[in-house]
Amino acid sequence: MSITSILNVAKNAVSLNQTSIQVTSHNISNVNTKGYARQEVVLTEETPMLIGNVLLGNGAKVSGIIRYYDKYLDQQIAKKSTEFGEQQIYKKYFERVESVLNEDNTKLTNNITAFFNAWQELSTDPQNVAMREGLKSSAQQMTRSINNIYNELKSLQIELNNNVKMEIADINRITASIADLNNKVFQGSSGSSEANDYLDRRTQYVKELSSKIGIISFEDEYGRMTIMTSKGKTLVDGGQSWELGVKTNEDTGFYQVGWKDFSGNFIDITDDISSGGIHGLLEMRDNQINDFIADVDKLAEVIISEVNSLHKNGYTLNHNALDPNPDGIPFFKEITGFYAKDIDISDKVKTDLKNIAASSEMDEKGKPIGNGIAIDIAELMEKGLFDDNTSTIVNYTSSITNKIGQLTKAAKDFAQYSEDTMNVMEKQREGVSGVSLDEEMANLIKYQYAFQAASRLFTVADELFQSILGAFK
Amino acid sequence: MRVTDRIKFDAFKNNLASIKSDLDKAQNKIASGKKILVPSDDPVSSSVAVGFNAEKGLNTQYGRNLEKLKTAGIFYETSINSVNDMLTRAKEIAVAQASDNMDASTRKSASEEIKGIIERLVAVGNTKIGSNYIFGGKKSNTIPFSIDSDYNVTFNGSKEVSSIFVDKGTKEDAGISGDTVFISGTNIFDELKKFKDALEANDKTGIRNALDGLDEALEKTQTNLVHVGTYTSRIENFIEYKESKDLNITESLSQIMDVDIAQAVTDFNSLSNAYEAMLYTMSKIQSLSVLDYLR
Repeated sequence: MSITSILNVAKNAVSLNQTSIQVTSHNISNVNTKGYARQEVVLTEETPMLIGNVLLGNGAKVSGIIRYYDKYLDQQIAKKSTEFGEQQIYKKYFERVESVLNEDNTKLTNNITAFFNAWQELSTDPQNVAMREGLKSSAQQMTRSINNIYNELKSLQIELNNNVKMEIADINRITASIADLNNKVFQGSSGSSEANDYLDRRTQYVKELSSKIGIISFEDEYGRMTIMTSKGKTLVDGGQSWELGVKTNEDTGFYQVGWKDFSGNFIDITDDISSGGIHGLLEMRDNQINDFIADVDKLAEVIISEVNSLHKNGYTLNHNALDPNPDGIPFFKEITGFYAKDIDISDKVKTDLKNIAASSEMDEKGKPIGNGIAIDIAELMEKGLFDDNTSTIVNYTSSITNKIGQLTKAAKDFAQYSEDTMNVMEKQREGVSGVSLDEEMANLIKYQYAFQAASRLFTVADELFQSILGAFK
Repeated sequence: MRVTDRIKFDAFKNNLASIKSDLDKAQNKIASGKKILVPSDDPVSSSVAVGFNAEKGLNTQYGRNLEKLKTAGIFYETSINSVNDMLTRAKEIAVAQASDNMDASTRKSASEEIKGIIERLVAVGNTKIGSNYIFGGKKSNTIPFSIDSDYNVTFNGSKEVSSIFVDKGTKEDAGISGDTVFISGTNIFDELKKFKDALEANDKTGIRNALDGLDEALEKTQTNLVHVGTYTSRIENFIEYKESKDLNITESLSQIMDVDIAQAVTDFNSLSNAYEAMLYTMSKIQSLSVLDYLR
């Protein structure tokens, strides 16, 4: 036992308290860092010295820096964020679809009613040319509002498609970062503050990745994380990451998602993606929006075919007196395929209002008389034209409103629910891993006093030396 | 549980966001006067409202149709009334000229008056609203009655009349054909012509015979007047029905869509109180820090 060993103990004590203060300040500066887990220096007793036959304490040493975290909770959060990410997409896009279909904006049903009302108006004065102008403009307003809905739904689909590509790029960035962090964790000594920071960042990345695509993850014996898609395609293994990619499907014009194997082969996994934000985007793009486009298409198709089949049986003001047969002029353009996209009044009607047929008969001079066709077309409003002839046009459009309303409401509710659960779990995580400034301040004072006391040891040792050296003066 | 600064801050942030969005919604409701702003607020009511709005649009159109029929009804009533007046006058003339006191010259001048009556009746038969002949039937654009120099009147219109909608699934005749009023049954023009010819020929028996014909014509005209009367009152009934329907729809729509302003303002106030209370407690809690006690 010597005074030198006191100095040694003091030196260690000063140094380890400095380390503690360093870690405390690291905690303080990361108080607002997302995903940061607070750290603490673990102190253990230094190996005691054997002096004679007495074991003498020899101060303390830093045995490591631990990270406060709950692995199970972190995994749960990652899993939950898969659901959260998907629900957020549904909420966002259903709200967009809702605003596209909202009658307050589209006035679709209003315009349809106005169109059929215009036929009624014409029925009160069937041969009046001026009145046809009103019919034409209300027809155009109706076709335009159907076109608009189609175009907006389509552009939403395109936006979703572009987002798929961007999300895939994001996934590749994240998996590359995780692989990189795996390497760093593997190389760095575990228990160091640096390694802890890597783990924090990796946890954060895994959470972010999970919100985009459902994954399976586990750690190997060296703490490196292996990540696979839920259908078992490896995304990260050790320091290696595999990329996802997109390829345009020639039929739909939309991106398919694929996984690239070692030799760069593109393996289509679009249908395997069953959860996460990407799944939300694909589901909206391929099913939900298509469903609404099909609804609007059906509406346009029925209006075109029903109105045309009546109109073609009518006599127009341009009727050839010698021809005993109806004129067969369609009111709407006769189209196949993209009804909602292309619905428009026919060129003949567009260029000459006299080509509108209001009458179902002609007199002996071959002039159209009566309002038979106008009345019949106006009556379409009351007929069951949809759902096995049980629903009228208005039943049909209001069922579209109901459908998007229900879907959006459910999406909002689910999104809110998953956000709430997410918040609760984040709060729990924060309770374990978060930095409390009050705590850190208390620790700071604790370490500061310990540091001061240790410094005091130097003075004491110094004085002891002085006394001994002074004795020999 | 450990409560960190972040937990406090996140709770504050989340609460702030949720109260602000509630406040925003409450304010929108008050500003727009509607309690359903998007379909997802209440999908069923929104879709019902779509139906009601369409109904309202249709009803407005039925209203326009009915107004037209009502105007036409007035025209028919006036026209048939003047037919009645003229026939009555013709009958007076016939009664007077059937007497033995009258001679060829008085009958000749009476025949001039009858000619005038025939011409005026043709004019009545060719009454127009806008560009449409009200007695033309379906041929509303063709002049329905034409007269030749011998006072033979021909009907060129259609016996049938168009019908238009006055309510869902209910059609009503858009008027009365000139055939019904002037031609079928007793042909008013033929009777007058016969009378005129008898006057010109100074044919007393002929005049007496014409008197019978004129009686029939008058009888028929009066039947038509009753017919028009019931027609216009039917239209009036439809108009009343349509108006009460309008009221019902508006009321139902308002029940579904309109916000209860008193309720909405109360909600808004309680939300803004909650908002202020939250800001207050947060400012208190956030300022609680051990730092305040260290120097």
